[in-house]
Order: sequence, then structure tokens, then C-alpha cells
Amino acid sequence: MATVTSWTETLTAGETVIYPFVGTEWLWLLIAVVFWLVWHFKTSAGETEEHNELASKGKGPSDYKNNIADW
Amino acid sequence: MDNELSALVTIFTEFYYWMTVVLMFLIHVGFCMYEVGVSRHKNHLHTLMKNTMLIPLVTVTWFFFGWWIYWAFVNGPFIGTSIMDGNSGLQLGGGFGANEFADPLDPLMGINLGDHISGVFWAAFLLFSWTAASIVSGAVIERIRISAFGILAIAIGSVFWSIDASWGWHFDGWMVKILGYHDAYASGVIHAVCGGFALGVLAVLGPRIGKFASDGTPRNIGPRNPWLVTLGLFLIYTGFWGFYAACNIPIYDLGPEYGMEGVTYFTATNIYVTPTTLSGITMNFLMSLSGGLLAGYLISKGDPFWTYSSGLAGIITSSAGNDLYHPLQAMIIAAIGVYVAYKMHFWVERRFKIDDAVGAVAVHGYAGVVGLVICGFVLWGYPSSGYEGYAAINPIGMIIGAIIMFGVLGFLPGWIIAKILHSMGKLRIPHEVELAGMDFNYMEASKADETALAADEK
Repeated sequence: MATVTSWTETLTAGETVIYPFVGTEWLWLLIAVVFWLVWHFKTSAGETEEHNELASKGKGPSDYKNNIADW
Repeated sequence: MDNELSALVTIFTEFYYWMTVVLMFLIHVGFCMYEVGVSRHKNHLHTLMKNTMLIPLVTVTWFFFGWWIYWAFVNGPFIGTSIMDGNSGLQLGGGFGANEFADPLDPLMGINLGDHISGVFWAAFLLFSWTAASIVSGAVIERIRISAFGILAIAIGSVFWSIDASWGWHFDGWMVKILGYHDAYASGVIHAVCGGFALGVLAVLGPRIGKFASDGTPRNIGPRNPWLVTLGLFLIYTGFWGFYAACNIPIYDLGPEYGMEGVTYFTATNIYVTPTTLSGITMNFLMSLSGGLLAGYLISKGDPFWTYSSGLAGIITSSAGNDLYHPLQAMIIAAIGVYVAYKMHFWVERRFKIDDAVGAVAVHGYAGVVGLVICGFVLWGYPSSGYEGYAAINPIGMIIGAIIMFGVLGFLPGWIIAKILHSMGKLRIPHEVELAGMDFNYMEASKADETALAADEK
């Protein structure tokens, strides 16, 4: 249900909080923290995988020059 | 806002901070350009993404706990006593200065028709947090894991700078009350702490492959793209204007604030609620920029990289007292800071084999420390606050403050966290990846696409 259904009623009542689902902030915080933590673990694992794959190619310090594109 | 004047003041203040946030965004654009310009071709994209991703990482953690820390720790805890409520522990509620509105669950941490200031104030501080992490980002390019940097960015951007700001950059902070610490435009609370943090990380991370010859002689690596570096530093200068503005309260009546009965005294103030003028600090900003550029050009014999960086270092050195200095003092102090920072950079590089790719420890750390120490002497005897019972600004307090900023809240946490990450094998990229370049796979794929496209076009 919307927090605000009539601006005139809200303003005259002195209501100041106008975002939806007031009182459920803890739930949004919980979801955000879980997302944040999962993001760290997933990206760290992905980075390790990428590094292992690249390291196995055994490229030298100047090999990248063969890959400079001339788009 | 029950009358036109209070509405005007409130909305003006809201808009003022909003503008500073927009301006300060340019600092981050500048840092990204600068870092990419300094990195080598094979590392450009990863360098860019490292600095870019600190934006969301620091932002969400600033919302989760960084802002809360700023308001909670002003008394240490248990070092000073709040002038707001006499409490010496954590400030957890009860009136302005307490941190109930920084609780991520509080209705004030959202669109709230009863509060036009908290959000933009939160954002202005957040942009300082980005800068804090970005300062460290440049020093460690081309060999740190992005995931490791993310953790370090959160540590400096949402924890340690927030603690130091709570202690020394808050009208109720214990360092201001007890030490007489004064740091109007953040020589210490942003720059010294981040320079120290970067040095702590670098001591564990080690130099890039080839930075030092077998006999220990340092080699110069880059900058690869001087134009990106130039544009980046100009944008950082520009964003620094916004930073200076954001460090002020634009309009405030000090009469009732200081308990002066019947006195009305509207002025701009610094973060400590002591008076200054936007007009005066504008002169000081430009004169310290000029002092830094002049000294940098002189001492580096016209080296563009160091001359531009010295402009920044000059502002940083004078920033602690730029709310009160005469413009000529700002200029000379800036030049002194640049001299010390430049000399220290090369001495530390040679002596300890520290590879600071962008000179961040020198420009921010050493210049910031010098700025704090000089401020203690030049502003010796000035009141650190308009409230009763505060220590006056003094050299000993400022030197202790510099040690706290650079060493205790900067170097030490950076070194410890880097050590932990290193022991887990999560700090540095593998040797083979560093040789090949972090962007090798991207570049290889791009080249393959180009070749395939060219074949189709024939």
C-alpha cells in the first residue's frame, strides 16, 4: 500500500516520510548486505579463475603488442 | 521551514551541498584518467575498473556503516566528553551531533520532507570517501588484485577516514577539544591518512616487476599517456574547488550558536563552526596551487608529471589552515610542502624500495603531514572552536594529530590488512599475469574480433 495516497492529507498531517513500505527498512538492508557479501565472494573467485587461465598461457611481457587492435 | 527566510536558508544550503557533490565527482573522473594515463597499455582497462568499482563499494558501505561511524566516535570513545550531552562513550542518540539519523534503518536516511540537509551532507562526505580510496588506488596500480583493492578501499573509505574525521574533523571531536587539532580543508583527515595507508599497503605489496634494477636503482615507468595525466590532474584541481566548498557551512548564525546574547552574526564557517569566508579561501586555494606549481616546476626542473602533482601537493599542504591564512602564507607554505614531499618521495623510494606509481604517498601523505605541522606553528594560539573549553591550536597537538593521521589510522591499518590479504594469497596478482598484462585476454579477444571482421569485409 502506498505511503502517500493524497498529498494534501500528507502535508497537512505533517507526515514527512514518503518512501514506500515504511517499516520494512531492515528487510531491504538485509537483502543489500547479502548482495554485497555475495558480490565480493563471486568476483574474487572469478578473478582467481581469470588469473589462473591467463597465467597458464605463459605470455611474455611484450606479447600484448601483437594484440593491439587498429579499430 | 515555517517562514520565507528559514526556507531560503535551508533550500540554499541543500542546493549548495548538492552542487559541491557534482563538482567533486570531477575528482573521481580525474583520478580515473590520471591512473589510466600512468599505467601501461596492457593494464589500462583493469586500472580503470579498479578505480571505478570503488565508487559502488565505498558508497554502499558508507550507507551501511561509514556515516554511522562518523557520528558515533567523536569522543574516541572514552577519550573526550561530548559538548552536546556530556557523554564520553559512543554517541548513539539524543539531539544534533548524535548519530541516530546516520542509522541505515532510520527514516531520516531516505527522502524525508522534514530534512533537506542530511542526504546532501551524507553525499558530500561520501565523495571525500571516494577520494580517500582513490588516493590509495593510484599507488598500487598494475599488480594488485581488484578484489583485494576493494577491501582496502572499503577500509580506508568507509572506516578509517571516517574514524579520523569523527575525531578531528567534527565540531565535537576529541582531537579538536583536547589537542587543539585544526584541519579545515583536510590536509590530515583525508590526505595524510590516505598517504599513510597507501604506504602501509605498498610496504607489503612490493614494487612492480622491473621497477628496480638488480643493484637497487629505481627505474621510471611511464606515464604512458601524459595528456590523460594532464587532463586528469586539471579535473582533480577543479573538483578540489567543490571539496573546499563542501568543507564549509555556507551560512550560519554564530551569535546564538556561541551563546552571545542578542547578537546575530551570519557567516560561512568551516567544519568546526568557526568563521571564514568563501571569498578568502578562494584566494588561498589559488595561491597555494600557484605556490605548489612554482615549487614543483623549480625542484623537478620542469618535469610535467611532478609539476602538476606539485600543484595538488601545494593545495594539500596549505589546506589545514587555509580558512585563516593570508594568501601569501598559503603560497609559501604550499611551496615548502612540495619541496619536502618531492625529496621524501625519492629518498623513500631508494631507501625502502617503495614503488609508489603515482607519487600518492608524497603528494597526499608527506605534504599533508607537513601541512599539519606548519599549521600548528602558524596558527599557534588561535581558538580551535567557538565553544567553551577547547584547547587552542598548538604545534604539539598538531604534531600528535599528524602522527595519528599518517601513522595510527593510516599506515598501521593499511599494513595490517595488506599483510592479512598477502598471507591468504589474495593481495597480488600472479607473476605470469603481471608480465603478460592484466588486459591480455581482453586485447586478445579484441584482436581476434578485428581479424575476423577484416576477413568478412574482404
